[in-house]
Amino acid sequence: MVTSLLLAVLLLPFLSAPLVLALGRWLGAKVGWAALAAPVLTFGACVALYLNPDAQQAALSWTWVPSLGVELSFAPDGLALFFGLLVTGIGTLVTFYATHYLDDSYEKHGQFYCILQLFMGAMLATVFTSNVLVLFTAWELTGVVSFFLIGFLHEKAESRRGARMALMTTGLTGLVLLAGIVLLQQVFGTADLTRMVGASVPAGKEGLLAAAFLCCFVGISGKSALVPFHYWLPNAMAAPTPVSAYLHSATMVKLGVFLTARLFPVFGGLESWTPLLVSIGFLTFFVGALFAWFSYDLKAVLAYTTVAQLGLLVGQYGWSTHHGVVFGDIAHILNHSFYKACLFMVVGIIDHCTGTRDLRQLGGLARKMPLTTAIAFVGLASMAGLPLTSGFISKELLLEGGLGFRDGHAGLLGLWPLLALVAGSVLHVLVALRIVKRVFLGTAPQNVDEHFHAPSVGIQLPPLVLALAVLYFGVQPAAFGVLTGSFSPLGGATPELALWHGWTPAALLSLGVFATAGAVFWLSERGRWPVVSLPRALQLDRAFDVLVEAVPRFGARLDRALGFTHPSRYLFIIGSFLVIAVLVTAFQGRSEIAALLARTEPLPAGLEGWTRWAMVLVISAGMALSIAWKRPMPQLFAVSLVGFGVAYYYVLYRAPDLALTQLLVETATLLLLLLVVLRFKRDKAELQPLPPEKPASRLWRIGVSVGVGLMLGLGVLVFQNDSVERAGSFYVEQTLPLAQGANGVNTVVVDFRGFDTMLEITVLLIAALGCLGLLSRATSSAPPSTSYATVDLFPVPRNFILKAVVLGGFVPLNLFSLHIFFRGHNAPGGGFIAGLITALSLLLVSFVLGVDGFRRGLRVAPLLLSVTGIFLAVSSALLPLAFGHSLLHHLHVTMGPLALGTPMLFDAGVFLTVVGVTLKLVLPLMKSVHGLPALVREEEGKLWPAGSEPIDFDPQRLPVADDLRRDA
Amino acid sequence: MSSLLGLPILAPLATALFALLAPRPSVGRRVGVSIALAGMLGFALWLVGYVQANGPIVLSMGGWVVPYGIVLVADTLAGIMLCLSSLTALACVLHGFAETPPEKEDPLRLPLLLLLLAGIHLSFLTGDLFNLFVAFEVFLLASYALMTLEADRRRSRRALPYVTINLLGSALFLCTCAFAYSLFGTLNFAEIAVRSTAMVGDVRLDLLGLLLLLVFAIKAGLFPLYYWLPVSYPAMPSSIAAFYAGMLTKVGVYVLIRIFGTVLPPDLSWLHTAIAWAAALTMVIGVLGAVAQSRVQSILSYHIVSQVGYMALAIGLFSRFAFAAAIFYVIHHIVVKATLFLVGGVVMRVQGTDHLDRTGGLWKLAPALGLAFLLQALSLAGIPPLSGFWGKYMIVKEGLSQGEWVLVAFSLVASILTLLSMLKIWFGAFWKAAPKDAAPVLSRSSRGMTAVAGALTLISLCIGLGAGHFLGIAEHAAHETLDRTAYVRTVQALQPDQGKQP
Amino acid sequence: MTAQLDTAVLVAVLTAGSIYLCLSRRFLRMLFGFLLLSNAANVAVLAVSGDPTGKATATVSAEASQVAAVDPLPQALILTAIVIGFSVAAYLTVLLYRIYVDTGAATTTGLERDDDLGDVGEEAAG
Repeated sequence: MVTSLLLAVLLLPFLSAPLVLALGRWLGAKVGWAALAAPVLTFGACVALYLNPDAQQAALSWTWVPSLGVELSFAPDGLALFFGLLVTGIGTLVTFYATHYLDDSYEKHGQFYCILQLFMGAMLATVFTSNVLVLFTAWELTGVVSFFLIGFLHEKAESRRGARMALMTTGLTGLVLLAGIVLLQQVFGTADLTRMVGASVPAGKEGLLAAAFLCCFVGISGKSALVPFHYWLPNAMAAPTPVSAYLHSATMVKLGVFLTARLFPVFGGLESWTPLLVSIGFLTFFVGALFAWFSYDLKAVLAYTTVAQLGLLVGQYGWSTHHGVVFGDIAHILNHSFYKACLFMVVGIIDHCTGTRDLRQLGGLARKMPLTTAIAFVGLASMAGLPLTSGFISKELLLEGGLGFRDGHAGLLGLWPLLALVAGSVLHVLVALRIVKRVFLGTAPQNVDEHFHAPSVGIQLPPLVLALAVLYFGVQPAAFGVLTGSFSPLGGATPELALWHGWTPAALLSLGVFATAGAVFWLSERGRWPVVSLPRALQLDRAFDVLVEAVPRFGARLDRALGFTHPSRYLFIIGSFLVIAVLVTAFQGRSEIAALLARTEPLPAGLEGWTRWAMVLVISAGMALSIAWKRPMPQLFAVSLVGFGVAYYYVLYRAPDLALTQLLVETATLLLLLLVVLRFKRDKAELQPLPPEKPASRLWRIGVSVGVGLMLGLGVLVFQNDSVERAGSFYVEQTLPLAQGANGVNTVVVDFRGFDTMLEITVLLIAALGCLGLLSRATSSAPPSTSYATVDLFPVPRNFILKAVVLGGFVPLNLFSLHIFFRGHNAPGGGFIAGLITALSLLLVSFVLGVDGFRRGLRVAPLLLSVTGIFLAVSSALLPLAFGHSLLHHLHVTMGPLALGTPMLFDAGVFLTVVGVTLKLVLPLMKSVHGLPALVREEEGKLWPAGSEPIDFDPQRLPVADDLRRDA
Repeated sequence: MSSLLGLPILAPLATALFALLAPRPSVGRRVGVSIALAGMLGFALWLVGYVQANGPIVLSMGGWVVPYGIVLVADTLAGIMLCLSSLTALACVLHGFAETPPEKEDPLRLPLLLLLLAGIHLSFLTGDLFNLFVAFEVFLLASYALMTLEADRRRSRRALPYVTINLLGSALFLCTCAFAYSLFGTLNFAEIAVRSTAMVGDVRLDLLGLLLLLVFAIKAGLFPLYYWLPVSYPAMPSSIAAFYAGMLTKVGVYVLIRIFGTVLPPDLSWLHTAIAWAAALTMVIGVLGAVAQSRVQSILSYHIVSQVGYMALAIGLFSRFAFAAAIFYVIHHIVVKATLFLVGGVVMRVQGTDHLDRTGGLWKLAPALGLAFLLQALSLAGIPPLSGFWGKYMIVKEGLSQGEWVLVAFSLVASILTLLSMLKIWFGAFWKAAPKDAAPVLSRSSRGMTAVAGALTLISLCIGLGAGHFLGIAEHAAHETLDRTAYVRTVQALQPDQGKQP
Repeated sequence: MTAQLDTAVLVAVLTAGSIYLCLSRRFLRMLFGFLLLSNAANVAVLAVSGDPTGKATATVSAEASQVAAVDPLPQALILTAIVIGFSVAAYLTVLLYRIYVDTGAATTTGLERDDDLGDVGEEAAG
């Protein structure tokens, strides 16, 4: 029974939220009435739980994230029930109020009520759960939801500002709270509050507990807008008034107080508890009251008094560990929620009827709206703590508490709360008097008269109910006491309340308060003190905005400072970082490194050694030249010198396959480079002016390059490790017996590690595709029919002899490549090398015939060739599966001299891919640098939706080119 | 059975080749590719289940005796990554389909995306250092190609930093492979694991670890090696950018987990500390960069950097719990980040720009889109109970229990700044009133795109609410990853085929 | 034992020189730099196969030979690396060419000018 009630309380709001949203579509403003159902039912359920004697036994629990100890566990204890009733009760009234307040001038009613319900659900989850993580989750949820309600009119800048301020502030403090919760779990080893309460703090964990308390208190201050986080609450008043009445006075902002009460049994023992809570709490009380006096927007006034009351509520917990505190607190929460919600609703009505909330432009409403005025007077009286209102009673309790605290604690700490209480109360009375005088008495000014329309009865009902409650508890203090006492979670005797305790010090104090306030007010009215607004220095919200605006600027500056905004600088940064990181590490182990380096001998034996050193010299010379020479053509020569030199160096290292491959690849690369270089030469692009390099940056550049050079060069020597047996020896031994190939390198490439090769040719294909994408800009329109202005970049004349030579050489070249291909498995060679030879011979032909002519002659599309090649490779990998072998297994069919088999098939694949890709790389580039579209007509239709245009440009018409020319 | 491990690589490869054989983009080709990707996803899901139940699967290419052939290993972590990558790929491809009609689609987009996928999958599965290098090259080159495929005059230049930096990285990686071989005499992960344990304390091991860290830090985009990322990503079509944002840096993160968790001995604690601090800087500096941006895609790109910081921090804390956090964070991040980029794509589609000065009014116009964005943004900022919270919570918890207050503070600052920058997008594109001149309009295609983003949002919502389940998987994966002896045992227990050993 | 000082020097020189070129601001010099860098890396791998003096190639004959052969694995790795290097070099070449065509700049400083992504569809026709 009770369990199902609890379940109903927790689920109803969440269930009705989507319903309301959906209904909102066609009910419009009327949806409010439908939305009323959930709060009413939930309130009923709460009441039922409250009246049920064995409510305390009810408990719900589901595991959620077991490994983190997160359990969806809920239990209705006194505190939870109290807040539950508060949330649902006020919620009902607010929803009713909203149905009248949000008329058709508003939009998206469905959304509004939906969010309101979500908020109620989140609140209920927060107060009923007994798991700190679930509590935190719901806590954050309330924050997010309130973000939406504050920003409900999100096209206004001020709404967005208020929403952002609220979310950021509560979000930041929420994170600190999270840290606190984590620490709390570390202390007690559980996320279950009920078990924390009982447990004693393990030895050595006191420090952690204190830290946890500090973190949690930050979270509390953020949510309850205590100093220094008080600034967000007044700005949250951008929300529609029902929201202000509900979230920002009665319920959400009280979560901080709630959490204080929840954690009171856990942290109460800490010695930092009392000073912190008392000082911050009562400081907030005083500051809030003061700021209320400084402001003239009625909602702002109420917001600041709310801040003050929240401070009071939290501060009370610092007083003593006596359970009466909790009692007094609940009493005051009850009282405050009654009158503050009531007053907010009244302000809403005033706003609605007069079109302004500025008490400097209001007046004479007493005659225009008597009922509202009466309600307002009751609320204000309770705020000022006049007798016959619940405010008076709770204030008496407070003053007594304050006096008791002073007796308990010597020094300023003991006196502080009392002082703050008195001063704050005086200010409260003043504020109340001012509102009475300026808003209700006197005569109505022009603007009010024009705009005024009388409030409907319905909209006045909710505040009326609250006002009556205030009066009832004011004259029936006993009932008030009983009700309050029934919630006190720690049970125990409750101090009986009475209208009049006789001339107690507390009574005298409050009398003094009234007297002072009256006197000051009389003076201020007599002297016509203007309503001064808050001094800039005290407006923390401005400071907040400045901060928030400063962050992006700081970020941008940081980016610039890191130099990451310059395309020509990032490589420096990264290079230097690499060098520094490695150097630091190497420096740590310099002695060992020195020892490792000592192993090396300068010179290999005999002639070979000299040849190797000679080659090193040659290559280095090439390197030096390619740096020294500035013009591209000579540079190209130097670069190729290095390339071919390396090829010969491979020979010295007993690597004929490498040498061959390097030679051919170098040639192909040169061909590509040549095309681009020629083009650059034609456009004189290499002459583009550059600002002279600063000597510092040049030094830096040299430093980085030398650093990386040393890094790798020494690495070669340092990482030598002869104590391990290497995989290589296995391949040498097993290449014949296991892979049926004499050439160890080739067997590794196509068999032992054939998978690498399969992917390597895929890389080739990808490169071809990438270049194709770069060279042809697809056009949605049909390819332009205009003939492109082409320039022949080649200095060599295509005369008859050249043609003869090339075409004559074609056949023998390919026979040779065939030979290379077949011997590959047993001698230097293989599919890759053969493929390159064929490709290069084809390129020579294309060079003499011209690209288009050649492509027309070449029946098959290069891309198709390479795709087929990879298909061959893949199929040779899959084929063995059919015979029950594993992927990439080699099947061999020995036919006389040559061993056919899947490796051969594989190699054929490599061959085809290489031929296709090389052609596909060079031919389009060759066309493009001549200013033609990269694709030949036949391909365009196929490879591009409509066609492709040449990516070429007219250098005269480019902005960048212009700038450059200006620089020159 | 174990031959199935070839599927995640060969299937995308074959699909790409078929797509190239039918080069004209068509509905048929689209359907085929989608089916293939859906199949991949199905297979990956099955794989995770199977591996969790029966332990890792090992495949030796060509059936060669370990460690002389190339070995593929699929454990839970690899399985998870496969799921994520195929899921992201599927979503992004569908999003692209909704965005452009077949006749306008670039014919090379799908093939290149599939090749990219093949490379990524290989780097998840491979158990061989050099093969990892090759895998990197496959997906890097594919990513270059895809990045510049549809670039216009303004955008082509944006690829240059990405390409050059990665070229530097590749050269370094190649040398590192060489050094590793000369140090350990092998390239096989399991073998390296065995031999490196014997070498603890040798300076060469430290240096090698550092080199590997640098190489993968470039891929993952750790400070200060991330420059290429925020420059190049915003220049891509949103559906492609979404895939990059989801997967590419995460490959780096995955490899960091694999190498430092499984391959290298856990004694390199100074390297772990280095990772943690680099990560902390990355988080904060990345998010500061994000706040400074004023384009949706740019903000999101900078966020990738800062989020990678979170994962790297978890790796740096180096405990089973922290690894679980890292893995869970990866799961969360990939889905969320991809969604956000897709949403950014819709914004661009609807308003013709993603510059926050010229956008607005979307919350009124497209609440569904707004909801998708909001949920994912809050999740990224770590608001409970969304998926982003749990990872963050675990990292905070682990950090505090290790007494790393400063690192935790860094992470909290980063997450509040994340919230701030997300608000920037939210206000600029959704809450602000629509610009007078350019009122946004919904089209059929933008609805389709929103639907894809919405589906991803639902998934990540499930990850957040079902955190218990996913965390269980992540913890299992973390356990496997850190259990080096078990890894070595499984790999070395593999029996070679007939005639594949002397 | 290891007499490979020359190779180490070669690697150092090649790397230093190529990095120096990579850090240059002119496209072509950068391009050459990256080409040479891949060569440098290949030589570094080559060095791993150990000092070749007095060893045979990795091509073995049927009858067991007395001379030890060099380690074939690094050579195999280099073969793969060369091919990959070639593909990447080709791509980079074309990329730089394309950027040059798009922006008219042949230097990275040229790229710093008006570096803003336009909105969808709008091309910077200049």
